[in-house]
Amino acid sequence: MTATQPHTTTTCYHCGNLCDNHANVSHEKNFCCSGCRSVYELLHEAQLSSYYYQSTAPGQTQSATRITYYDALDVDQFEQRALVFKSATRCTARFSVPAIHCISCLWLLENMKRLSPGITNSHVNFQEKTVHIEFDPKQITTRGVAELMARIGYPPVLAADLRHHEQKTQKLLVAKIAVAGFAFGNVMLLSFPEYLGLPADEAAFKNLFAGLALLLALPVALFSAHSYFLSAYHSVRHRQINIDVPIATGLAALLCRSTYEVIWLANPGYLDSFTGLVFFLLIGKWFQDKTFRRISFDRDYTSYFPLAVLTRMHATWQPMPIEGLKAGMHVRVRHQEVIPADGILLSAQALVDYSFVTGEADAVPVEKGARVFAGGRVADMMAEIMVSEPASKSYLTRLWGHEVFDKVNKSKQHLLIDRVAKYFTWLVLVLAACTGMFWLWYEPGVAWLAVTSVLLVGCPCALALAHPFTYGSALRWLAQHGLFLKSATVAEKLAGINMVVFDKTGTLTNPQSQTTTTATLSDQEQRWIKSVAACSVHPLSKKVYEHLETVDELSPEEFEETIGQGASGRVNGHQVKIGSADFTGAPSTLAKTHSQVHVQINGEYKGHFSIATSLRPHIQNTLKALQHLPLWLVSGDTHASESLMKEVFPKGAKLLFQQTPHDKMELVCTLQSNGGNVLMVGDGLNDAGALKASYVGLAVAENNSLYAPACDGIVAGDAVGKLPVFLAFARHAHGLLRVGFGVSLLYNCIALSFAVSGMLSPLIAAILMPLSSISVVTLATTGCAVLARKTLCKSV
Amino acid sequence: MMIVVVLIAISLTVAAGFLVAFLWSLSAGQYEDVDGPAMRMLMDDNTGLAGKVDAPLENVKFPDKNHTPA
Repeated sequence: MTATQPHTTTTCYHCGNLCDNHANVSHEKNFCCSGCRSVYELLHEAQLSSYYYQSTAPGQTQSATRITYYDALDVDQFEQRALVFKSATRCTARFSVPAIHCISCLWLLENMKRLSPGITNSHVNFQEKTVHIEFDPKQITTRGVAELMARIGYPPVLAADLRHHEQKTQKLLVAKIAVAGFAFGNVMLLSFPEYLGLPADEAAFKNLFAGLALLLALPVALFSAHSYFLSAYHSVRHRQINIDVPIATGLAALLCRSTYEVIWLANPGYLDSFTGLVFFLLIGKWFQDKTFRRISFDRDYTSYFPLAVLTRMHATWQPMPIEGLKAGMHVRVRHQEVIPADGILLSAQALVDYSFVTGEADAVPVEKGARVFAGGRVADMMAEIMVSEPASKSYLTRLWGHEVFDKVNKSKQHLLIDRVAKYFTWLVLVLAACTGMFWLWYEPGVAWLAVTSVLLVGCPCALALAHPFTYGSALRWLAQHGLFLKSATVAEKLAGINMVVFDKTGTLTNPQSQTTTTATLSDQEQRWIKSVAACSVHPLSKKVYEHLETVDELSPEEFEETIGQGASGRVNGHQVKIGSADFTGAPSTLAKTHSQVHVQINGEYKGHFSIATSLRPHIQNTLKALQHLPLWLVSGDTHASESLMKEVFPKGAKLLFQQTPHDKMELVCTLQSNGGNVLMVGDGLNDAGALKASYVGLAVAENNSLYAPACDGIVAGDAVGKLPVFLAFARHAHGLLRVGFGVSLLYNCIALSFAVSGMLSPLIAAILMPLSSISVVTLATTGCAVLARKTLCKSV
Repeated sequence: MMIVVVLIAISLTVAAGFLVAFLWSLSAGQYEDVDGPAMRMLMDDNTGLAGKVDAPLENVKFPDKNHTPA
């Protein structure tokens, strides 16, 4: 590298974050942390620096990235899961890499072969955020590939995912639409001469056109419409009439009547209506099934836990799948790894962060011989643990054994469309019977025609389109404003919410905490404190360290840390102690909470830093806007924040503290069984039970990773304040759906009046059917856009 | 008027040809990643030597919305 001009800005060359100190400089570039720097150096050495020219600061910050371990890939069963192809000389692995986000990512990952001779090829799927890597298993292992990716800042996520399957069904749907669209267009062209009137001497064409139309409709009936017939059959067998029953009846009536007309009467029949119907219905299905491909809504605890853990076997440590853990085994849990099973600590001491399990933000010191629970994250050095319960029976995972997780369809309440479908089906059947009887008595020759006409126009095509198009576009509008829902059904349920339960940590509060200090400290003293805090592994020390960003740090001559007490060190000959009140000799009159770091310098008490969780901006207004609903707060935290929460919540809200994950779930279950439709808003794994038990469970996720437990929807962190608006929008959308239903029923009534009087010609059917469909679709999409402008956009 | 029959046969064949082509492209996975190829075509094949070039894009600020520092 030739000399470049010195950097004036202090943003990280790798990730673009602000750099807090200048210690991390390499090749005249600034880096925010050593992680970013080492990625840069690695790429620079491999002559892959043009990674940084494709776009500015393309990397993900390495300071916040958690360390991941890939020994699980040494276990055969997990390696198989990652590999899509395997032979003696060539393997292909498929990794999911959430960090992929720009052109540089794509470029670097597709040039991975330059980093290791074992890798022969790599291909990125940008939309799915996956990488296919071809490599030579003799030169590099699967684990080696994963570790290399982690080293260049793209750690693959090892978790079983089901999204591949979803995509296949979506593909099949598109194929069905293509076939139906092809048939619809051609059949319509072939029907045109009939509508315009063919001269009598061209009767041969009439037969030909009708025959061709039937031929074209055949694949539509067998392939495209297949799922409607199947679904109707199943729902009749289970005695639950859904919207597919009248649709299938209508389609069958159309098909039978048309086949009869084509073969015996040489008329074109209603095949253009039939193919068009299927085409429109399938498009509605496709519109509704829009999935957010990057987001997974079905994570359970296994995605948070390591796949394998180092276990002692015959005096060596070997990775072992966590399902294989048995009581009495010795496991080694490294820095930042999640404890896979309940057990007893064998190491002298450890600091365990239970924020996953309890929502409690602070790490807990654990002494040798004490119990540790699965789900805790080891916050300091490595810990050795003797397993006392298998992973599946541990405190946290037992939550997943609860019955709420077994319910596939958790609400017995039928959606509006199914309720309407039930009445509609019976109405059409009764009407068909009456019509049949009337004509049998009046003019028997017309009876069969009249009955089939009633059945075929009784097909609630527009009705079935109103639902997917209203909620499909509602889903898109909500996603634009930061609420990602799992399905259109959730959007409908959101309208029926009559109770809201909040979790505190991460939901109402910001993940970033605010540090304030009572002590008046000189720059020199701040520097000493920062130096000691830098050596400490306690999370609160880290907060203090981050708070003192303006001064630079020194390296202490002496340093000692006492778990549960604090840290002391000597910097430039000055004795500095930071930690608990007792440890630093704070005056006993001080109100003690555990989120304080007290400071003593040279034996003199200086004051303390308070680390307070800050609320999300405008959260008070949000809660005020929701006060017409019963509000609850369930928090895993201690009562320490009660006074703050009382201020924030409107009067009448019920606040509960020190709730275990089980308590939260029980509360939601009770509220639900008392007739409530509970909206649960939570974030961590500790809310998973409550999210699942609720009517609608929304998880709050920070930034664009959107990593959340199993839930119905994910709210981006900065969109939490818009919750009342989301609920209002959902209610309006529900109103819009009712209007759509009204319009489509009106069309059905017009068509039925033709059918009952035996005057329904193919031409009228061919006009009414697309007209009703298109007007309902337009109403639904433009209506949703207007509502979104009025409610969602106004609040920005 | 027999020409109409011939024309219909031709038009149906052509349309069916397009349908088959679409179904093939669908099953071949051409729609699985529609963003990737758009980016790939912007990359040079010989960028591996770019270490010798002085970062040409350094002072250019790209409007990359994914990149607001956290």
